[in-house]
Order: sequence, then C-alpha cells, then structure tokens
Amino acid sequence: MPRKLIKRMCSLAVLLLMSLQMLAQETTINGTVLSGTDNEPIIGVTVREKGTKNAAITDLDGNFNLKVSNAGATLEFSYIGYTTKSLAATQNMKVVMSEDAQSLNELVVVGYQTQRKADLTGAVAVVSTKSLKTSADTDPMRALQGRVAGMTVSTDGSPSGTGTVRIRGIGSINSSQDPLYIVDGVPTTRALNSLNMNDIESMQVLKDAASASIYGSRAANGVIIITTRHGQKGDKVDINFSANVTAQYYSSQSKMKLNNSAQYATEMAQAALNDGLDPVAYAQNYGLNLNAAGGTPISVYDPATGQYNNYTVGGYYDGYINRKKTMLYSDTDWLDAISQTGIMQNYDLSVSHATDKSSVMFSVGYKNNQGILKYTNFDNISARINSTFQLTKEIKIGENVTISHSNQVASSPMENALKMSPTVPLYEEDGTTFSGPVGGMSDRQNPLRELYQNRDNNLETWRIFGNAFVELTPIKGLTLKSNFGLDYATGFHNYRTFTYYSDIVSNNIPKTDTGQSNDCVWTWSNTANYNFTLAKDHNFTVLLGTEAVKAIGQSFSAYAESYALETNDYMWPDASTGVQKAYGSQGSNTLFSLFGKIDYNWKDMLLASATIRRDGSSRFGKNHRYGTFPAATLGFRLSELLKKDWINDLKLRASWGITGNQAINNTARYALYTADYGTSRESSTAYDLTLQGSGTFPSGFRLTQSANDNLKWEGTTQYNIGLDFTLFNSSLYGTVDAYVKKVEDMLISPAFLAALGEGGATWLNGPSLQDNGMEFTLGYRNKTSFGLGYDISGNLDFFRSWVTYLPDVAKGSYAHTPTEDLVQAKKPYGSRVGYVVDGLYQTEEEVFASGQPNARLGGLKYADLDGNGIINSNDQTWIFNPVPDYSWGLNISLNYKNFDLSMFWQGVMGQDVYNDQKFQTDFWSLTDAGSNKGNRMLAAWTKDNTSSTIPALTTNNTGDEGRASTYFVETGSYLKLRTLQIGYNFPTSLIKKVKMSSARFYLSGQNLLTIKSSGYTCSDPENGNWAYPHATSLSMGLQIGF
Amino acid sequence: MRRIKYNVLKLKHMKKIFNIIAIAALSLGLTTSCSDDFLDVTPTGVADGETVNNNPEKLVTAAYAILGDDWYQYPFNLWPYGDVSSDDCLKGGSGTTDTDYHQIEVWTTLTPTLGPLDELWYHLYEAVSRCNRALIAIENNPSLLGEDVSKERIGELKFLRGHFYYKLLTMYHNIPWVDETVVNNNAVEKTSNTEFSYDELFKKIIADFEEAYNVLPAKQTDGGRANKIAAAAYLAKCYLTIAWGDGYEATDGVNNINQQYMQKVIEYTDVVKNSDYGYLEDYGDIFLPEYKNSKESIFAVQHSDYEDDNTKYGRANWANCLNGVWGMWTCGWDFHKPSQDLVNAFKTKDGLPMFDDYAKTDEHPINGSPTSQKWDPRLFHTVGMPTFPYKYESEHTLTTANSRTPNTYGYYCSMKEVPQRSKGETYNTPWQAFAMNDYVFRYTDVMLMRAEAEIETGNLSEARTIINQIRQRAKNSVAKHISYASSQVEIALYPESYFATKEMARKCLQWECRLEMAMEGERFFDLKRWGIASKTLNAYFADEQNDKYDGQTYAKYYKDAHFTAGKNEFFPVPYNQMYYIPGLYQQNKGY
Repeated sequence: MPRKLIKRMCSLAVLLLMSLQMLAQETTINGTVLSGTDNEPIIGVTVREKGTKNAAITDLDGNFNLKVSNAGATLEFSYIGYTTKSLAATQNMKVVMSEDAQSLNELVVVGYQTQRKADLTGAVAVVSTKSLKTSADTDPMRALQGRVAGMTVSTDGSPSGTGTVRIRGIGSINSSQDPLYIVDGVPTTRALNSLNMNDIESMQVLKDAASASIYGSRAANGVIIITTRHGQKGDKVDINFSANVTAQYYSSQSKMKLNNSAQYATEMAQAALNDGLDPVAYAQNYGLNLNAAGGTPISVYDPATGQYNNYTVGGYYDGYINRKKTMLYSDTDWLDAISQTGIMQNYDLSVSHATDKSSVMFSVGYKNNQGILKYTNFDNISARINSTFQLTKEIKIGENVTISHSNQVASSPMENALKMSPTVPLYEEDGTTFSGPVGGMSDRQNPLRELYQNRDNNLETWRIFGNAFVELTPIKGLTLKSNFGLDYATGFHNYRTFTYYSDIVSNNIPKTDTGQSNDCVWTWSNTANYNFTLAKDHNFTVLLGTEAVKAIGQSFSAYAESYALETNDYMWPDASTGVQKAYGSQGSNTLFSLFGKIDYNWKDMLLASATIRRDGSSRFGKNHRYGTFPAATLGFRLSELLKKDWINDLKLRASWGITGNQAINNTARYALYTADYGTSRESSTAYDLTLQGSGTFPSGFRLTQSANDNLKWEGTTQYNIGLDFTLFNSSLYGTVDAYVKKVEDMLISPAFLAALGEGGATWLNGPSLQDNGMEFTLGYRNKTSFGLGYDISGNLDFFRSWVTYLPDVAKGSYAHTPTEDLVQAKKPYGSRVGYVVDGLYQTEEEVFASGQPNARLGGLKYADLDGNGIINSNDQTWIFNPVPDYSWGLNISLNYKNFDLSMFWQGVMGQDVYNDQKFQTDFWSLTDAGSNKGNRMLAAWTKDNTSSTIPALTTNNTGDEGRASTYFVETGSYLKLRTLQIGYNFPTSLIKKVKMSSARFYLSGQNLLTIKSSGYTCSDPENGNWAYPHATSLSMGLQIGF
Repeated sequence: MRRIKYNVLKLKHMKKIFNIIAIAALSLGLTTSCSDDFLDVTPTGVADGETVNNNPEKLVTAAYAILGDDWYQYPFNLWPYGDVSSDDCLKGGSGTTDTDYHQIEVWTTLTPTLGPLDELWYHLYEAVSRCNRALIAIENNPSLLGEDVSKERIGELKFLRGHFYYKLLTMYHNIPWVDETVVNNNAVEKTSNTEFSYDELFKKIIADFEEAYNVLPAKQTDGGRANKIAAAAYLAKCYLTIAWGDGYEATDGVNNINQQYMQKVIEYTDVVKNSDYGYLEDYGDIFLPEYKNSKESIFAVQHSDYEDDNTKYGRANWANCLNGVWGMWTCGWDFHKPSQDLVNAFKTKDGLPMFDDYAKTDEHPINGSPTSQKWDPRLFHTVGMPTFPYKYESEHTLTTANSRTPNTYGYYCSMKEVPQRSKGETYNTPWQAFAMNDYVFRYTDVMLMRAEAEIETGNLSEARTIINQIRQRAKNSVAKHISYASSQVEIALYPESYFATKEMARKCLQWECRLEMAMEGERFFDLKRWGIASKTLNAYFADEQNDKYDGQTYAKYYKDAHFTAGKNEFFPVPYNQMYYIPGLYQQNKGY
C-alpha cells in the first residue's frame, strides 16, 4: 500500500487527535518513532504510559512528547499494522517499530471506496502482488493460480494465453462464468495480458455476494479489483528497473508418450492380426512394407498361431511410403520437430515522484514470450502514466492511463503433431517440400508446415485503458467523485494461407483474410461518499452513486484469393486477382445503475453494512429491464471485546447478498431474422430460383433465434460466514470462510427439440444450482534466534455443487441417465453419464454369454447395471464429477541475511478428468486408425498378455468402445511445484556507492515438478486434450531501485 | 492514526449535506428518466419479425435455399442411407473410423446414438420449419402477394414440405407432424411422434403434394421452382411406396400390393409422361453440369460455384463433398465406392442381365483389354475403374493409386456426382465440392416407377416398352463419351418372353432400377419397398467380403454385418430427440 500517501491523508486527523492533551505530569519524554521497514517516521503511533490512560500520538515527523509520572515508566508503542513494543522511557528515544506483514490497517479498495482491512465484513482476499512481479508469466491471472483460496485459475501454456478465472465453484451455465475486473475503478471483462504486472499496486478478490453486490449486475462470478501504482511522496524521484529472462522447455512431464516407427508398425500389425487380417496387406494402406528387405525388425503376437511373427518394416514403394516416391520411410519425432526452448523476456522501468500537491508515476514495460512451440509468439509493450493533482483544498483531479501494443502469433498444431505418423518424414526427399499423410492415414496436416506457414499470421492489438477523475471535498468527510473510464482496443489481423502440396493434402489457392475490430467500453460513474460520527461512537460512511456503461464492438474484414506472388509483403487484397469478399458487423449494449451503501462502525467492535444496487441493462426487455441487488453484512471484532495480549485481531463476520449476471448475447431477447447470402456453407438463404447459373441469386431471411421478452437477470444469492484472526504477536494468522451460493434463473440457450426447427434456439431463465463451500487460509511467520525469517502460508478450499432445478424443456439438453436427470441425481453441472467398464473380456465363453452387442475378446466389458442380461443405454450411470474434492496452495518463504528463498506448491485432489487422449493412446481404431498412437498400446491385451487393462487392438471399432465410459474417467489429482525462487539482496553499503536504493537478483524455476495420481495416463493433468502444452521454465531476474 | 477518520456531524454541515442530497436526488431522477433511452439498443444487421412477415417472398426463397443447405454429415440426398447401407456401395474414406457411417454399412452396430442420424433429423426439421414459417406469413396475410401468387407459393411450399417429410418418414418411421397449425398453436413440444401412424403421415404428405399439384403450373417462369409435374412425380412416388405395404418386411412386398395405389402411380406418371420432360439422349450427359437443367431434370436441387454466385463457399453440393476420388482432385476423400457386386450386376450375356449367376465370378473390365465378358454401357458412366478415363477424359486416367484404402474399400469410385476433372472443383481446402445439381426426380426415375406400377397392375407390355426405351437410350450412350469401352459393351432390349410373367417382369424392372439409378441414393429404399432387403443384403454381405480385385481382398468388415428384418427397415429415432422431452417420443421397434 502507498503508506506515505496514507500518512498524508491521515495527517490532519492525527493533528486533531493530538489536541486530546493529557494532564500535565512530572517528566516529559520525547522521541521519534521510525518504521523498521524503511526508516521513515511513522505518524500517529499511540505512545502510552503502561498501565495508565496517559498517552500521546506521534506527529508528522514521527515525534512525540509525553509527560509521564516517573522517569522509569514503561512506554507502550502501538500502531495498527505494527507489532506493539514496550520500552523503558528515556530521553530522546529512537523507537523502531516492525511492520506486520498482514497489516490490518492496510487500506483496501472495495466497491467505489477504500476500507481498512480490519473493517472488512465480507469475504475479500487481498492478494500479495510481490510474487507477481517476478513471475515468469505474461498474464497476471495465470500467475495467481493456487494463490487465493476459492479462486481457480486454469490455463494452457500458450505465449499469449490468459488464465480462466473461476471464483467459488460453478457460477453459471450458459452465461459467463468470468469474474468482473475493476482496474482503477473501471470495469472490464477483457483479458489482462496487456497489463504490465509491475504496475499493479494491489489486487483484491471480492468473493462473497455482499462484497461484490455493489457491482450488482455483473458481480455474480466475483470481482477482482486492481489498483495501479502511484507516485510516492519523497525527496527524490524514485526509479525502479527490473528485468527477467526465462528459458522454457517442453519437458517430459508434459510431453505425450508417442510411438516411434517400429512401435507404430507393431501396434498396426497387432491390430490386424487380432482381427485375423493379413498385417502385411493392412500396412500397405499406410505405405508400409512389413516384409522389407532392409528396415526395422519388429515382433508381433499372432493369436491364430500363439507365436510371435517377425517382420521388417520399411517403405512400401522401394523404401518410400508414397506411390510418388518422394517420402522416405522415416522415424520422426513430431513433438520434437515442432517444439523449441522458448525464451521469454520481461523488462520494466518506472519513474515516480510525489509532493503534497501532486503525484506522478510513469512506467514502460516490455514482455516477449516465444513459447515452446516453434513460430508462436506474444509480445507486448505498454506505457503508463498515473497522476493526481490537488488543485485546491477541495478539488483533486487525476488520471491513470495505459497504452499497450501486443502482437501475437498463435497456432494449435498439437492434435496433428500427436496424430501424424512417425513413418512420415518432415520433408519430402528434396528437403524443402513439407511432407503429408499417405494412403489410409486421415487428412492431417504436417504440423510443422502449419506452424511455419503461419509464422507471420499475426493479430496486432492496441489498447488504451484508463480513467480520469475529479474529486471534490466540499466539506470534511464528504467526497464527491466523477470518474470516466475508457477501455478501447483495436485489433488488426492479417492471416495468409499459402499454397502447399503435401502429397494428398494440398492447397492451390493463395488467400488472405485481413480485418480490423474495434471494441470500446466507456464507464461513467459518479459517487458521493460521506463519513460522519453520531453520538461519539457511532461511525457511519454513506455512499451513493450512479454509473452508466456503454460497450460497442465493430468488426470488418476482407477475404481475397489468388496472388501472383506468395510473400507477406505482396499478399494484400489490392493485389489479389481472384474472388474478394467483405464481412462486417456491429454490436453494442448499455447498462445504467444506481447504488448506495452504508457502513456502520461501533467502537471498532461492531461493524455492519448494507448495500443496494439497481441495474438496468439493454439486454433485457422493458418488463424486466431493471434488477435490484441488495446485501448486508455484520462483523464483530472479538479482539476488541476480549482484549487479550495474544490476540492481535479476531473478527467474526457474516454476510448475505444478491448479485446478478447478464453476460449473454446483446441480442439474446430478440427474434433474429438474418439474410445469410453465403457466409456459411450450410445455412444460406440464397437460391438460384431463376436458373441464372451465375450472378447474384435471390435471397431471403431465416430465423436464427426466437424472442423472449420475459428474459430477466440471473440472480445469485450468497451467504457467507467467516473468521479472521491474527494471534501470538501476529505470528499466526488466518481466515476461514464458509458459504452457500444459490444461483437461480440461470440464463441459458438450451439445445432444443429438433421439431421446433430453425430458430428454435431461445434464451430463457432456466436452471438453478447450489454451491456450498469452505475456504481456509493459515499462515505462520517468525524469525529464529539466528536470524532466519520464515513465513509459511497455505490455503485450501473445497466446494460441493448440485443442480437444484431444470426446466422441462431443457432437461434433455443436460446430462441424464435414462431414469435420472441432474436434479434427481443431485449432481453438479458438467457431470457426465456413461457405462461402467468392468475389465476386459478374457474368454470367448464370456463374450458369448455377455449380452453386450458386438462384444469381443479382449474388448471392454460393460457392467450390466440393471441386471437384465442385455447391455444397452439403460446401463448408463453417473461416471464423471467435474468438482474436485479440494484444491490447495502452499507458500514457503525464508529469508536469511541478504538471501531469500520462496517455494510455491499447488495441488488439486480428488479430481475427475475425462481423458480424451485415451482415444489415441489406448485404441488403434477409435478415431483415425493409422494415425500415430500412444506407446501404451504396446502393452495391450493379447492371449499372451491377459493381465493387461488396455483393450486388445483392433482395426475396427465394432464394439462401440468410444462410448462414454469409466474407461476414460481418471483421477487427475496432482501436486505441482509451481515456483522455486532464490533471491539475493545486494548489501546497502555496496549499492549506495552506485546510488541505488535497492538491488535484488533472483533465480527462479517454474513447473519444476509434477506429482500426479498413478491412475492418470496423460502426462499433464492440466492438459487432457490438445491444448498448448505447459512449459517447465527457468528464469533469472534483477530488480533495482534508485 | 492511519485510519479513516469519522467526522463529527455538525449542524452547519447538515444543511450543506441536505442540499447536496437534494441535488443528487434531482440529478439521479433526471438520469433515470433518460436511462430508458440509453438502455434501448436494437440489434444490427438483422431483420425483425414484422419486416420479414411483410416480405413473404423472402421466406419462400429461404425455404427453397434450404434444399441445398446440407452437408456430408446430413446429406439430403441420403447417399449414406440409400447407397452405403445397400449392396451397391462401400463407405470408403481412410478406413472404417472415418466418419460415423460405418454403422450404417454393417447395420449390426447401428444404435440411436449415431451422430449423423440426429443431425439429419434436426436439419430436415429445420427445413420443414422454413416452409411452415413462409406458409404462416402468406396465409396470415394473402393480400401481400395477391391471391393468385399466394396460392401458387403455398403450393410450392407444400411441395417443399412434402419433400422433406417424405425423407423424414421413409428414414425414421415414427416422426412428429409439425405443420403451420401446430406452430400457430405453440404445440410443437406437445406433438408426439406416434400421434399419426405411418399410413396417416403418408396421407398428410400426399395431401401436401396434392395441393401443390392442384395449384402449380406445369411450367414455372422461374425454372428453379417446383411445378405441377414435379408434384405429380412425388405423388407417384408416395403412392408407389405405400402400394407395397408399410415398409416392414413382414407386411410389405408382393403379397401386400394395393392395386388402387398402383393405379394412382400410373395416373400421376401419365402426367409426367405427357409433359415437356423426356429422356436426355445420352446417358452420360445426365451427369454433366452443362446439362444440369435438361429435359431429364424434373426437379433438382440447384448448385453453383462460388466464383459464379458471389457467396463465400459457393452454393455447391456439400452433401457429396467427400465423394471425389483419391488423388485426382485437390482433396478427394474417396467416399461412396461402388461394390464389386454392383459392377457384377452390369454384366450382360447377349446384351441382357445375368440375373442368377451375375456374381458367380468377379470380373473387372480393363481398358483396352476386352475379355469375353460384356457389360451394360451404363457401368462405364457410373463406376470409375482403374485403367479407364475418369469421367471420359483420357488425360485423367484412373489407376490403382486412385484408391485410398484399397484393402478396405477396393478400387472403384463413383462418377455420377462429380464433374469432369478438367472442369475443376468448386472450393478446396479443407473441403472441395462440386457445382453438381442433385436430382430429386429425373424423368427416367419416374418412368421406372410407372413401369413398376404397370407390372403390378398387370400391364406387362407397357412396362417392357418403358424399360426398353431406357435400355435403348443406354445403348445409344456409347459413342459420345465411352467409345474406349465400346468393345466391352453389349446391351439388348428385352424380348417379350422376359415379360411373360409378373415375377419375371418384376425381376427385369428391379434390375433395371438398380443399373439405371445406381449410386443415386435410391437402392436401399427400393429394396425395402420391394420387401427384399434382408434377403438381398445378407447374401451380399456374405459374398462381398470374399471378393478380390487383382489379388487384393477388401470389405472384410462385412463379416460383422447383418440386416435384421423387422428392425432395420427404418433407422432409429435419434437418442437425443428421445430425451429432450422425456416420454414425448417413442422409439421404432427393435432399437
């Protein structure tokens, strides 16, 4: 927190209280109180003669004068946020107080106002931003994974990727589940990867409805408040510089285990032999000769003879795998071919200064992330200027603005990389033509070609994000503020498709898709904040406000084909000689809100607040345009009542509130008739009625959505009780929260009965669900006698969720067994049904007796749940629960002399993963027979290997074994060492010589270790499909201040 | 003190505060009243219901447009369900896991959960809804188009609706009937798929076609619109289908023939016969894009190329986008591959089919190497074979390399749905399609229906006349396009003796249907109508898996195939549809 700033804000108050002069005593003691953190004076420290009511308060310079009864008196220095200190009174005392890490007096930004952390009565997590500044991540949200109890961040590993944030369980079904971000008072739901992490001063997560309800309609998924840095008052200009270089690796812990060519051919031959087919003939489909004169020897079990057959694998066409004889039989490691060691760099420079009248902060940040897949990239440069000016005693103006530029090249080659056969070379024999699949292989693209030809297909984004405000203080305690916020982003993309001839997959038309999109959101809020005291101990703060938000999005793009030259410079639509098309659209929405809040504080012991917000949204019809969102909280500071030495703070709090969700399409309530001349292949409204053959055809309208004028807000009611404690000289601290969250009238656009036909889609207020959960945060910090400081903190959270209501028309759209829907089964949204796999068929007799259609030896055996002797859809049950048992994070930081070490572990326990990769790692022919597979299959069931749990390979999925079943459900529990960092602070004596005020060097590793359930067959529990893989990385960095 | 300081509330402040509150309240009041305007945001780039309903012609156009709004996963020409399911054709592609159609090919693994079944059902009802929406707009306000035009458009829409319902009913049996009354009563979600029997549903479809027949002109100024002749053809087809029975083998076939319905077929095909439509002179021309709206074409789904129609992807034939042969096109995925059994069926002896021993041996015509085996010329127009020019162009000759997975699907390819290679393709990467019309009815098809009805009503000689006309045209279709095969071709007209008995005549007719209409999506539905699907298919499954081409075995997967009579005549009601509203729909028997 900007401590000096707060000091200044509080100084007037301090002076006032100083006038509470004590009765004259015998001796006057004077002295200065300094902060141990920065040696700056502390204003407003209570200096009390122990055992008396005699006290004084330090002034602006940290000085105090106190008349004491005798010279040997003990003085007690207390200041919230600092450890209380007792010292014998002497003249000219120099008292150094040490700060509590978890400062209770810290001011936190909550809705439209700031509040002391000690006064909070809602579930608000204050995020330590320190670790963000050294994190090797381009998105601040990704860096928060596991840091906040009750907040789940999921992400892929792509350079431009952003974290998907979920607060407290499942918040909605069809409308958005993303939290609302408030950056310097301006709401946004746009990703934050263009934000410079070093600019972040503080971050608060408002988890319960009561805290968030001041943001009403958009707060149902929680609110994350971010405040950026300001200039700090001081004699000199502060200059800070930091740099970080990270090397990222595609390490074995996230790499899929694939076949090499010999293993691939072995599995292929095994599948054929199991089916009684001639493997030599079968392999020809894939360009392989199993009786090659020279090649790789393999040995495959033949169930017909009970012997192992030996083959030699080579290319079918004289060593080539294609008939044209351009691709030599190879042993390609496709993952290796597309990956690289990616370098990521982060630099930040900031300059700031502040006086009594003004403050200015300027910063520039640059980040560049190459990613671990070749030819993918993200870079961002941003500049920020934050300033405030106190024009008169009553008027203050200020602004915070950041301009950033990002450039990203994204590609998703993973599925092709996994599926491309290792027998295919990277290039044809000429060494330059990218190879492609052959024969019976599915039409997969060469992933390296995809990456390479995509290398300049960039999306460039400029974003201006900021706000300007004027603040009036006409009378003491009253603040009127008008704040205008703007979030403007303009993106330009230029995607080129070049020609290529990769054997059977080819493209002979060069084409471009170029376009621009503009997204502008402005927010204008006006607030009045007044705090006053009635009858001495009754303190009130009243907030009233209005807010208007308008969002407009526009996009325009052009498609053009046929170019004489295929270069980036040439391929612009002007130069195209073929078909040219233009596309464009616009959408907008508005919100208007009124809100008020009253806070009450009685002797710092009893705390209460009430909030109400009324929001109108353009997304709803006149009947239901406005929604009202009330909330109330109550807090009780037990510590103020008990007044025990060992209790620094103890607070019990309870809250209730309603928040809303309206994150649906702008046009959700309307009937939409569109004229689709021909932007889609299968939903055109144009037809050649007149048999003209060419030109523009007659075109009509089609209904794409039916109207619902009764659409209204989705509402979330949440109850929360919590306990905050700081004990034993502030060494033990923690928070416990329990909540009940009921989401009602969820906005959905469900799948619908086909007979309704086109336009059967409609938005409606449908299902309800409930989440119950608890969150724990506990920490212990201390210092050993030999000077090792340590701080160990952990968080843990869990929730249970279930659907409580489904409208009749939507029941079939959600998971259900033949007899039970989600409500009847009390299951969470996202649950899946399927068959229960009960091992593999071991004998022909078992197969024959099974009652399972198309059962096969060595195939999956489905349990006959209804016991009627037939396996059919009635044998399905609930097999997958998306809610983990619990999630946790553990942070350990140590410091000794100039060294510091921190370690962050994060884990999820009892989590079901539906492992789609198993289609490729456990079955030869569930999808893409002939594509590459996992090498797990080498251990599949045969008559010679009956203990295997992997089904026998087959060329043909006659048993429908890809149906949803427990075979694909695995326990995805994991524990990851997210960060390990060692830092060194250069000694002050040394750096003073070079006029530095601080200098720190650190080494850090990310994702160094993953421990996962033994039953999980994928490499990375966080990536059960084809997403951009997570990297393991090593970084080093430098942080210096002048 | 580092804390928020509370001010002592003093009287002199109170006044000020009240003033501020008053001003604030006032301004809030003002902003609130303005906010309703602020909150009115109307959608852009779309039309509202009122505008649309005042332009019913646009809704009619959209109803026509959906004829071509299909895709290989829900092809309205039903090629997977009419051909892959039958003895004419193998699925093709990269292997049995390529697309979900393998289940339709072997039948035993077919379950209601099969994805394409749901997609087809959904999209056909989408099509029905476009018709209903246009009907409602016109019927609610006939003055907009004038009485005459309104009547005509209603006729066209009912034709289109009948067309989509015909497909739904013959595919799925238990289907809900949704028409403009059901929509107006908001009763779609209460309409069961057993409210009407199969027979009643057919009557409803017939009623739609009858209305079209009664009001439409024999020739439309806009040639793409449905006319009276097309309606007559459809009426004939409806009656022909139900004339044989209810579709289930036990209660369908020669023992269940309804003579009255057969008479209707003759009645309506007479209208077609006496129209301007007729046989196109060369069989090969029927399947060339330059002849796409010839006199052979009674009703066809219009398709065009994106370079011609200003659309992004072209109103091309995406239903058949997988069906280009391997290695010939930029991306031909080699689906829809003729079976050896079909090729064998084209064998002739003395110019006539080898009814009983056609499949005893496998023969493979080789270009330039004639054997003693002779073939019906239509083989060379229908089936692409190694060594022969692909669609008549010798510079594009097929080889064994033009098969993607020969030891699964053999070496033949289908040529009717593709243009000549030199004419190019419509759009490439990742899909290619052809600007080839899909025939709903071509003249010959209607004449074959007529011949069928003539046989069943006892007029065998008339049937022979028709069939011989068709054969004569085939005979005449060698020189223009397939002269390279002339030495292997032999076809003759049926002598009277072949039409001496109903049984014999039926055999000739059914054979002729197979040859003439091969690979046009009809075969399975024909077998079902005749009540011979299980017999024919199960024999085929047993045989085809042992066939070889050039030493190469294929179609081994047919060992798992079996057609179950009493169940497989119809496809199951899609699983998803059964569960949207529990209890509303009933599954077909056997599934």
